Amino acid sequence: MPSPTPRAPYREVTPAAILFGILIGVVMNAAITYSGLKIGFTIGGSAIAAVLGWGVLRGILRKGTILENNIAQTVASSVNTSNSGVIFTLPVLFLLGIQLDLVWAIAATTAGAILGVAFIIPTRKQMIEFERLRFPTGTAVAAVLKSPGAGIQKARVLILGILASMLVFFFTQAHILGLPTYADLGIPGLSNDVLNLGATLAAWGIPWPETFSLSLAIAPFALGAGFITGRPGLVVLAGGLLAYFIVSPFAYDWNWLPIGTDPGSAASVARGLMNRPIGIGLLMGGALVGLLKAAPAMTSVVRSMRRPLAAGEERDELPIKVLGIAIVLAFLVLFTAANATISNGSIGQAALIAAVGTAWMWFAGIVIAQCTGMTDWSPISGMALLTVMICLLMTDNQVVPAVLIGAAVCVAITECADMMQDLKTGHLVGASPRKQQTLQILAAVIGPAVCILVVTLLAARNVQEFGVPFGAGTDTPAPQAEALKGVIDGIRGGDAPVPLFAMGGIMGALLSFSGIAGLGVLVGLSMYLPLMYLLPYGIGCLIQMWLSRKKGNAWTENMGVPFAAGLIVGEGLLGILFAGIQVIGG
Amino acid sequence: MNKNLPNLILAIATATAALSAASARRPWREVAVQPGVDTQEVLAFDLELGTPLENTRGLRLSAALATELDRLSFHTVRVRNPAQPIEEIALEDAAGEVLAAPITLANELETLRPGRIVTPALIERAAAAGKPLPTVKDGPVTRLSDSIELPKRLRISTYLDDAILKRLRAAGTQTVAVKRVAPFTWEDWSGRWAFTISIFAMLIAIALKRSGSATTTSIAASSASVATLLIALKDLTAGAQALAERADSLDAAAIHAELDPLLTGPAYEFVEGYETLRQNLGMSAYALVMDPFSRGERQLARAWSASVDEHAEESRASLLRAAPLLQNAVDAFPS
Repeated sequence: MPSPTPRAPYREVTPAAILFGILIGVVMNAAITYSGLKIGFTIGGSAIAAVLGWGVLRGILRKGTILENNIAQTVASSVNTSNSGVIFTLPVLFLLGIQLDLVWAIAATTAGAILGVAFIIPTRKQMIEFERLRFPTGTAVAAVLKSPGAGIQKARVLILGILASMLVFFFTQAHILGLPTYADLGIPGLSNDVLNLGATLAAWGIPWPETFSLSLAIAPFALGAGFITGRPGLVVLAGGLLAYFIVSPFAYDWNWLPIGTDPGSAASVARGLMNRPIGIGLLMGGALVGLLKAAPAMTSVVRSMRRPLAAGEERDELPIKVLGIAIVLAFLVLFTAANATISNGSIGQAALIAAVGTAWMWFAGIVIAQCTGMTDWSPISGMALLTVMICLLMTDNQVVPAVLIGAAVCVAITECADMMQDLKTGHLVGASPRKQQTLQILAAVIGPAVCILVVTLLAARNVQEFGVPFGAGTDTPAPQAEALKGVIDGIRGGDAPVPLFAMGGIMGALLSFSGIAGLGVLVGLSMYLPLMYLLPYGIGCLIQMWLSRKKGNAWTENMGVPFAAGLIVGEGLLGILFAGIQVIGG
Repeated sequence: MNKNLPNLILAIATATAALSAASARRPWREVAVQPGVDTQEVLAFDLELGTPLENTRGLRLSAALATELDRLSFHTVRVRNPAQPIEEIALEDAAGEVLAAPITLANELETLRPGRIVTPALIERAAAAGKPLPTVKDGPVTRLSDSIELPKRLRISTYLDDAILKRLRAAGTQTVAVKRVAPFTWEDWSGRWAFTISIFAMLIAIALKRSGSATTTSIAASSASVATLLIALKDLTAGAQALAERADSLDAAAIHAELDPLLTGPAYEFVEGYETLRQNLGMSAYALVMDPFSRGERQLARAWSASVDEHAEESRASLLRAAPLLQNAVDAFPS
C-alpha cells in the first residue's frame, strides 16, 4: 500500500549524523594516533563508524537512515584519516631534536587536508563510474550500511564474517589484556600476528631456503580485501613473488646486499634497499601513464562540472569554482607555512616548494586513490618518503620545511583515498556525491589539529617520563617516523635511491601500455608492500575465483562479499577496541 | 603464435629488468687488476685461491697485491663501492656532509632526566665522560634513577649545516668523520645492458600483446559479449521504467521486493561486463554509455536504500529520476 500522507524529507545530511561523525572521528583519531605511534600502522575509520552509526543513529536515536549513516561515516572517517599522514612524518622532527612549530604544523596539514579532498573530487566519475574500481573497504562499508535491507541471510553472513574476523584477530592482540596469543601455542614460526611458514617447515624437517621469505600476517582484513578485489588482485600476488622470490634471493646470492647481511634478514634488507624504491618508481610511472590515458575522460568530467545545469537537474560534484577557491586558499596557507619555516630562503623558494608540494599532492593523491581502488592498500609511507626527498632537494636539505610539506602531502593523500572510499560507499547506497564531498572537505580540517595535539602531548609526556619524545626507550617508538628519519639521513648523506625510482618509473610506464588495466601500479604496489600481507590478500583473490567458478558469480557476490566485508569490518572494530584499551591503559 | 607468448616475455622481461635495476645498489664494483699499479680500492670479499690469499676482504688493492693477483690469473676483482664509506675530513670542508660517528661537544652540557632508558650508547657516553650512571631496573629495561649532566653529543647522521659547524668550532673540533656514498654512474652499473635489453623485450611483448593476435588476454576481460550486456541494460531500463510507473501504487516494501532483483540481476550483470564494454566500444563511447548509466544506477541504489528505510516517497522519486537516465544509456549505445 502507498503511504497515505507525505512524510518529512528523506534523512541524509542531519545535525545528528554530523555531530555523531565528528565525535566518533575525534575519538578514533586520538586513539589511532596513539596506537599508530606505538605499532607503526593505522586503522581506517569508515567501517567502525558505520557499525557504530547503526547502534547510535538507528538503535538509540531510532531515526537513522542508510544515507544518514553514510554521512556519519563519511564525516567520521574524514576527521580520523589524517592521523596516518601526520604520524608517519611530523614525529621525525622530534626524533631529530627539532622543536615542532605547532601553529605551522596544524596550518600546513589542514591546508593539505583541504587540497586532498578538492583535488580528488574531479576524478570520482573516472575512478568509480568509468573504471569501476572496487575500493574493497568502501564496498565493505556499503555492505554494512545496506545490511538491514539485504535480507536476513546476507546480514547473517556479514555478522558471521565480523565474528570470524574478530575471533581470529583477537589472539594476535590478546597480550594487551594479559591473555595468551598465537605465540603461546608454541608452533615453530608462529608469533603473535605472523606465521613464518618457512620457519615452520624447517622445524618440521622440510628444508626451506632462508632467503625465500614465506610469512603470512594473521590479518583477516587482507583476506577479505583480496576476496572483494577478485581476479585483478592476483597481479599483486605476482608482483610480490617477483620482489620476494626473485629479487631478494638473487640479491643475496649474488652479494648485492650490504656485506654481512644474514640470509634470514635478506628479504627485509632487499625490500628497503631495492624493492621499495623500484616499487615506488613503478607506481609513479604506471600512475603517470594511467593519468595521461585517462586525461581525455577527466577533462570531459571537469568540463561537465562547469556546464550550466538544466532545469531540475542536480549537480553530482561540488562546483569547480568552489574547488578552485579551496585550492587557492590552501595553497596560500602552505606557502606561508613554507615561507615561515625555511631559513635563508627567498619568497621564491617558498613559493616553489609550496607549488611543487601542491602539484605533487594532486598527482600522489590520484596514485593513492587508484591503489586503494584496485587493492585497498595505500602506500602512504612511500609517498612520504618521496615527498620529503623532493622537498629536501628543493630546500638544500632543510628538514623543517621538507617535513612540513611532506606532512601536508601525506594528509592530503590520505584524504584523497578516504574521499574515494566514501564516495564508492555512497555510490553503492545511492548517496549524493556532492553532499558527501561538502562534508568531507569541512570535516577534514578538524583531523590534523586533533592528531597533532595528541602527538605533541605524547611527546611532552614522554620527555617527562623517559627523557626523549619518541623512539626507542619510550612506549611510543614511532616506527614509521624512525624509518623516515633513516631516509632523511640517507638523503642528506647523498644516498637517495633516485636511479632506482627512475628505472622503476620506466618499467611502470611500459607495463601500463600492456593492455592490462593498472598493471604498472599493481606490480609497483606489490613490490613495495611486505609479503606477509600480500600472501593472505592473494589467497583471498584465489578463493574468490574458485568460488565464482564453483558456485557462480551471483552466489559469490551475494554470500562471499558480505562475508569478506565482515572480515574487514571485524578486524577494524577489534583494532580500535584494542587501541582504546592501550590509550586507557597508558 | 601462442597467445601466451607475449605474457611470458613480459613477465620474464619485467623480472630481469627489476633484477638489473636492483644490481645498481650492490655495495661493490668490478675493477680490472693492473699489476704494479697502486690504488686506494679495498677488496670486498675473500678470494678463494688457497692459503696465501685467504682473508683478503678489507685489504687495500696495493701494487704488490695487484701484481700477486695478476700472477694468479685474476683479471678482475670486486672492490668496495665506495672504497671508504667513512672519511675523516677537516671541519672547514665539512659543510653539507653527514656525520659517520657521534661527536661529543665538551663545552655543552645536557641534563638527562630520570626515567630515560639506559642504552649501551648512553653507558658508553657516561663512561667517556667519567661519570657513573644512576640506574634502576624497571622490568626488562634499565632506566636512569636520577638526573645526570653529560656533555652534549651530536648523533650519527647529523647533517652539518652552518649552525652545527659553529658549535663544533666552539667545541674545538678540528676534523670530523663523515659518510661517503658512491654516486650512481652508468659505466659502473653492471646491470645496464641487461636492463636495456629487458626494456626492449618488454616493448616487444607489449607490441605483440597489443597486436590483433594478442588482444584477448586482458585479465579483466569478461566472457560476456557486448550484445548480452546491451540486453541486460535494456532489461534493467525496462524494469526500472515499469517500476517507476507503478511506484505510486506500491509501498516501500513492495518497491524493495521488485527493485532488489533488478539490482542483483541485470544491473549486476551489466556492471560486471564493464571491461568487455570498454574494450569493445572504446573509451569515448564507453564514457557516453557509462555516464548516464552510473547516474541511473546510483538513483536505483537510492531508491533501494529509501525503500529499506520505509520512505516510499523518496524511493519513488529516485525511481523516476533513474528511468530516463538508464534510457539515455541505452540510447548512447553505438548501433
